Amino acid sequence: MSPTLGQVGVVFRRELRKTFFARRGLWIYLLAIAPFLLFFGYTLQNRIEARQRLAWASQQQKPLAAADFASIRRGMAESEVVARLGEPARRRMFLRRRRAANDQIQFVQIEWLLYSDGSSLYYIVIQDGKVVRVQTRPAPTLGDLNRLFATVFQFFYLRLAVFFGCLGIFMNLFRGELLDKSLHFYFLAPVRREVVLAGKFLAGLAAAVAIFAGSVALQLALLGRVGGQGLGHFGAYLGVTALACLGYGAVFLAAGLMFKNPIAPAVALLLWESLAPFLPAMLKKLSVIYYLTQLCPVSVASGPGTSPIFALLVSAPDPIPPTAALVGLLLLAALVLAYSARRVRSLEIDYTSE
Amino acid sequence: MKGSVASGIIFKNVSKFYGEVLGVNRVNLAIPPGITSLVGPNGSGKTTLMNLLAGLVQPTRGEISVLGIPPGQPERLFRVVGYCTQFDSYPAGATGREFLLAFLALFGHSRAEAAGRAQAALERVKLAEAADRKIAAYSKGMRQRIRLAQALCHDPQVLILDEPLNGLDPLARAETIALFRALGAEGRYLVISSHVLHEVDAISDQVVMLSYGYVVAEGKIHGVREEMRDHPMRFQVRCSHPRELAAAFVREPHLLELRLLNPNDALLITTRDPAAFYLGLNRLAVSDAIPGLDIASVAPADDDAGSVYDYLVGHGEEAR
Repeated sequence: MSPTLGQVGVVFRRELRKTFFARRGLWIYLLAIAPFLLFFGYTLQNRIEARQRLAWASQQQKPLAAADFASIRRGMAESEVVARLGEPARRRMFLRRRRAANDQIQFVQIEWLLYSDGSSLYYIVIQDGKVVRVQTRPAPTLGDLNRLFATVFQFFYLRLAVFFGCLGIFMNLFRGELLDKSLHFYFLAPVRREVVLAGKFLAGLAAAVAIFAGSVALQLALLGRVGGQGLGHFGAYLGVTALACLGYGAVFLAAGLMFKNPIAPAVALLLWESLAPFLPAMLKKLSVIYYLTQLCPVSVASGPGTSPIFALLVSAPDPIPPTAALVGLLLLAALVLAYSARRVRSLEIDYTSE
Repeated sequence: MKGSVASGIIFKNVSKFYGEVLGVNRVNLAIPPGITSLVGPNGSGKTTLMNLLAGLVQPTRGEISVLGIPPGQPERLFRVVGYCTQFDSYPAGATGREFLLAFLALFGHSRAEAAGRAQAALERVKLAEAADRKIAAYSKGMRQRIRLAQALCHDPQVLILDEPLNGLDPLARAETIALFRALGAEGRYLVISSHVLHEVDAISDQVVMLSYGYVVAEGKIHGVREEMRDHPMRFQVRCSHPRELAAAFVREPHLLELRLLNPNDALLITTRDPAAFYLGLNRLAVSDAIPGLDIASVAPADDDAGSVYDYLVGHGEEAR
């Protein structure tokens, strides 16, 4: 092994330990684990509902199918509903407070008749003895799970969790050491500054990928999307997460070399990344999220009821092939890292001004 | 002789500004082998000059060369330079030995060689016994010595030492001064910063005096020593029996004033002969004259050192 690679290895190992066990980085683990906790709650609810579907189907007066519920119309009397569907598995009564025309408070009795056809739960809402609404809670399909995961992944995980997690990890690599007055440990050794940068960046990247891709793997495992047809998505999401760490890592490493206070660049970058869909095609290419969304295996499609802003956010007005997105992101990261390497050569240690 | 490199340490018209704030201005120096002290009060530009030498800051103007190597090439520079900074930051949980081994790993030494070098440096700074204790449990003086070991462990020709005697007890101070003398005698370059003029007197072959970023005097130490001879200096001694220590000092002819700062642990001594003061203190520290005497620290009182410096700089400026 060449001496330079050996030095990169020494820096890498030391920084990796520091990054994983940094007390000030505890919140990064919380960010990474947040969607896992969300999906854990979701899975738990699905399990409870699955049990309810079977239990209610066996407890109601007669077996029912989806067509039976389709015949229930708004305004139908409760007695007619029971005549068609039989006694429900459960009844729930509520009193709803309502302000009447004369400004008096009234209490209205609401009743839910709860049925199941084995694959969906049905809530028939009765008010004043008449049907006012029929709510259906079907079991989530594979497509539902894919869309839900894609939405959380694109709108929370990539844009917030990985973004702020990388901010915490990569800005700390140099700025944190300046604050701790410990950067001279490397700068007083016979090591090129670029070698220190490379070792630190690789350590940050390895830690970020382990934390965030690890969380993605846990989330997908929880949703049962790691085997069979889900394997392709699993690989793609891990890859996109790793690329997000690479892209945001490079950007925040450079920001850590340029700015003393991480808040201002973080807010500016967050704005820039959020505004990416509204930017002209040329400027879009300078945002990390532009490439990442193109590489996601499931697009978050907008439906008829979607708000125009959300539709614009999820749309890809200048789609590019995945290979081009990959090359574009790698090129962007390489450019930012090259700038950082230049910058670190002239980085001055003046702890008194930190 | 290790330091017989013709080029030495050269500052050629070097200036450093931090924005509009002056660090050092128009410094021209040729530092020979041996011990060179940079003297001046806080803010005079000593640390800036040292950081320029180590490449930690870049000059706004001018050129610097250390044994023919520009400071902008750390991969070459720190094969021949060791820098003992004032900054006290260590990896959490590391022992003294682990700290040195981690540093030596960056030099590409094998484990065995690094272990040998670390052990040699620890012995040289008299820290071998505490080498496997955590640095977090070290006293201030031990931390100072582990930093010194870090600067020494790769056997550099040039040693840059920023206030290296700060926090050392009298015995460690004497041992460290002896070590500097030995290193200087080996022909190495030692650049030591100090705002304590008495230290300069004790250890330097030559002195560079700084004031507000300018070099106001440089040369052999004798001249400075002559200026210092009759000027009183104050020392603060933190110890376990200050009353008994005061009683032991009260008849010393060099003593000008004694003051108990805190009856339980601190004493302020003003003397016209710092060397005699240190000698007397060292004798008391190693003898049983005061049973249970434990000297935690001896530090020249800053104001007094500043006044001596002003006194000297004032004379220098009058002479110009």
